[in-house]
Amino acid sequence: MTRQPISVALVEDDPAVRQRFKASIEKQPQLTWIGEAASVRDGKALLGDNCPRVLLVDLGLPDGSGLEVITEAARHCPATEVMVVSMFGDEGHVIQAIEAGASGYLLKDMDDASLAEHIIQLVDGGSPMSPMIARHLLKKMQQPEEPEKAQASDVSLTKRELQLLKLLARGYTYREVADELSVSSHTVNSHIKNLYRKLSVKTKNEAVFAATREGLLDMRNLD
Amino acid sequence: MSRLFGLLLLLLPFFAQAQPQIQVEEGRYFGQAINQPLDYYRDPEGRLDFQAVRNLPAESWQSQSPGSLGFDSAAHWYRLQITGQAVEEADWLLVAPFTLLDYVSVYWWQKDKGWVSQHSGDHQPLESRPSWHQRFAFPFELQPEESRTAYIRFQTQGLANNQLLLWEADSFQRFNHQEARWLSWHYGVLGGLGFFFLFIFLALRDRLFLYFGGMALSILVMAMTIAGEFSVNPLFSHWPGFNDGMIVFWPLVTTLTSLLFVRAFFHLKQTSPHLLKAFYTLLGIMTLAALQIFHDYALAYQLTLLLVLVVTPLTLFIIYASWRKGLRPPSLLLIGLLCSLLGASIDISRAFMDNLEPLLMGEYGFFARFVGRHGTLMGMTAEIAFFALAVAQKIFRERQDREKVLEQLVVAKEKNRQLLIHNQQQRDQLIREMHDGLGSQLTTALYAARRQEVDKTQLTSQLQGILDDLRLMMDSIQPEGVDLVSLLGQLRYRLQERMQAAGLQLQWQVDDLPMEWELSPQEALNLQRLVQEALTNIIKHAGVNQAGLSARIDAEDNLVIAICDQGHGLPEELQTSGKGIVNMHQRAKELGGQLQITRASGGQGCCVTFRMPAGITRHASSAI
Repeated sequence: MTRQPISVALVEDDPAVRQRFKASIEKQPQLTWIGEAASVRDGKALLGDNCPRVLLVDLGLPDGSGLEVITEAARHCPATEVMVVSMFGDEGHVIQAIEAGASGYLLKDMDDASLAEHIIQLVDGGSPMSPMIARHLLKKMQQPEEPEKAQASDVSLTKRELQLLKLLARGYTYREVADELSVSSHTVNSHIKNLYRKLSVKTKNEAVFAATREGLLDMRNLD
Repeated sequence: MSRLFGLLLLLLPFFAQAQPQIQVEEGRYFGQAINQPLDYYRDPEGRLDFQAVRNLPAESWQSQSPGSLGFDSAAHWYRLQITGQAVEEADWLLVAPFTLLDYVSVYWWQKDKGWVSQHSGDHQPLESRPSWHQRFAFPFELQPEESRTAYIRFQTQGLANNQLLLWEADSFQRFNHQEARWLSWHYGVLGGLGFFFLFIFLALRDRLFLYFGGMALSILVMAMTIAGEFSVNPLFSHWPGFNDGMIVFWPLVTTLTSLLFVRAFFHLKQTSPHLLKAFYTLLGIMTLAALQIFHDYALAYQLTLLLVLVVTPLTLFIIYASWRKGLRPPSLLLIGLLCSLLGASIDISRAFMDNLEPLLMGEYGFFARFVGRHGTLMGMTAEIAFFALAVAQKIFRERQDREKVLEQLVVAKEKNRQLLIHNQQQRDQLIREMHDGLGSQLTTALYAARRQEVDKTQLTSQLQGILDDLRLMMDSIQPEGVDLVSLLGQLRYRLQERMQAAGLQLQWQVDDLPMEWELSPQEALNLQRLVQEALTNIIKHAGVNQAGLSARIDAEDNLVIAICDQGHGLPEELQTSGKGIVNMHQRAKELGGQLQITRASGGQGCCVTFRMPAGITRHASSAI
């Protein structure tokens, strides 16, 4: 099966990491390196030129937070998959990034092979979901919907998704989850991709709702 | 009966064409008011002397009873004859009771001395007055059956209140003593409260106290002025204009102090700046009115009296407005104001009280008499007393509020202290982990790297292990907290790769435990380390490629985490004294549970079982 190589761009201020990532991605025939940036400003400019298939973003940038770049990417390049490049995979930051529109994360110390593997997996079926992220999703999604947000019903969890999240939070692997739910691991992957999307949508809905309530946004003028 | 007799006497002069005769009566403890018409002559310019008046033709004299003539700065002459038919030999007084008269003179006819004059009034130095009482009293003697002619001259810039009384000297003294005593009670209350609050101000520096003390003292001075206390003061009596000036200017001071008090009490500056402006305007108009004193005293006096009347309704309105704004209704202030209004109205209706006098005959009528004469003072004193209560209430409430806040502060501080202690413990734990765990691992890796022949693979795996450990620690100190189930899950997620690399397959069997079992970072770390150590032991010592971890809640409501293998188990000596095992027991204890290491009887397999009461779990889940 031949397909177009996945285009990858990186926003990261550490030159050593940039160097390493670039080298390992260029080694992979399925991936192609299309650009890099070292700051929020440059990162946004990079997006203006060309939307990559996969954008890797470090959160701690010299002129601001990588979250800004993620938001920008979600707005201008809806087809782009964003991955946060994190040192420790600390859940607080990763969750923030996912809510801003990222669909997964990478660890900085990953070796070349698993780096490429992760990127390809992301495009195919979503990033791995750690138990803590699953738990966060559960908590967030189970909050009762406010009646005013009835139109946001597409972000509430289905029964299947709920089962899946609970199993993931308890530490079961994708394969075990698939066995338990009697589905293919491909289905599990697509569920997870969907769940990441829901988290970011729900967060955005909440932001819009809060802004409307505060009078910052007038719904009647939103066409 | 005596009234009727008096009426007959009234008719007498018309027949006799003689001077009106007034017969003194005994037993009038509160003085005998002269209400009958007397011979009256008005000298508009006030220039005629006694001789000229005495020589006036009979038709110049009119018939008029003495009493208030309003503002009239002319000289008023009265002529009468006092007879003492039924009177024993006694000392008598002719009294002009109004205390704010400028000049009062009496001219008596004495058989052997001819015409004798006595001069009084608040423009007369005290030592040259015939008596030193606030009320202008003129002593005379009256022999039985004697008849005396008297000319009385009134002249004043202000209110020409030309009342006259005949009073037996003994009764007069008694009345005055009693009145002075009663007055001093009022002065005492006003002055005491005034000075007390001034001192409180000096101690606490709250402006409200200063204004209140000032108001009480200014009202005291006003009351003393009206009661004539300053006109019988040897010092002030040498300064004839003093009383006149006080009457016009002092209301400005009382209004100002009341305004300052009301402003501070109701925080008018913030709550109703418009009312404050109205008050300032009133004060300005009053000042202008008072300044009229320099060209028309009577006008200044009248305007001031009129404007002072506006102060009370304005204050009432402020109370109403503040009540509308949702402030606590200052009912005490309201009562105080009503008292002062009541007092003032009694004073205004003094004529009515005077008419009641015949009903209040006898020595016990003093109270009614006092109320009639000093209604305003009594009202003001009550007002100040109630205002003081209102101030006290306000302070009390503020203190209560402050104490409540202080209490909350103490609670918050205690909470904060607990939190600090808690944080300290957690920091200590974290430091211990970093020191014993990461520190020693890093040192090992460092020494390995320094060696000549570096084993790259070993060093890499060492460093990878350190990084994994660091990630585990980060998991335990998640800012939004972590629950037991996800912590176990996350632990597997983190260790998965390492265990695969070590060739160990982990059977995972975590039940659907409630997810509300929150762990503190300390507990989370302990649990992580405990499980990690057990798994490491299996990898190191068991010599198997399969192990299982299960977490469930047993029949006795205990959380049971069991990590079992089918291998050799631990070497005998490690089970009891190994450092890792001791650590695991210690961590289990800190978690509030206990650890059990059991070996299968055949020597095949070993289980590390951690057990802790799950009461919290059930509690938490039942709350959902």
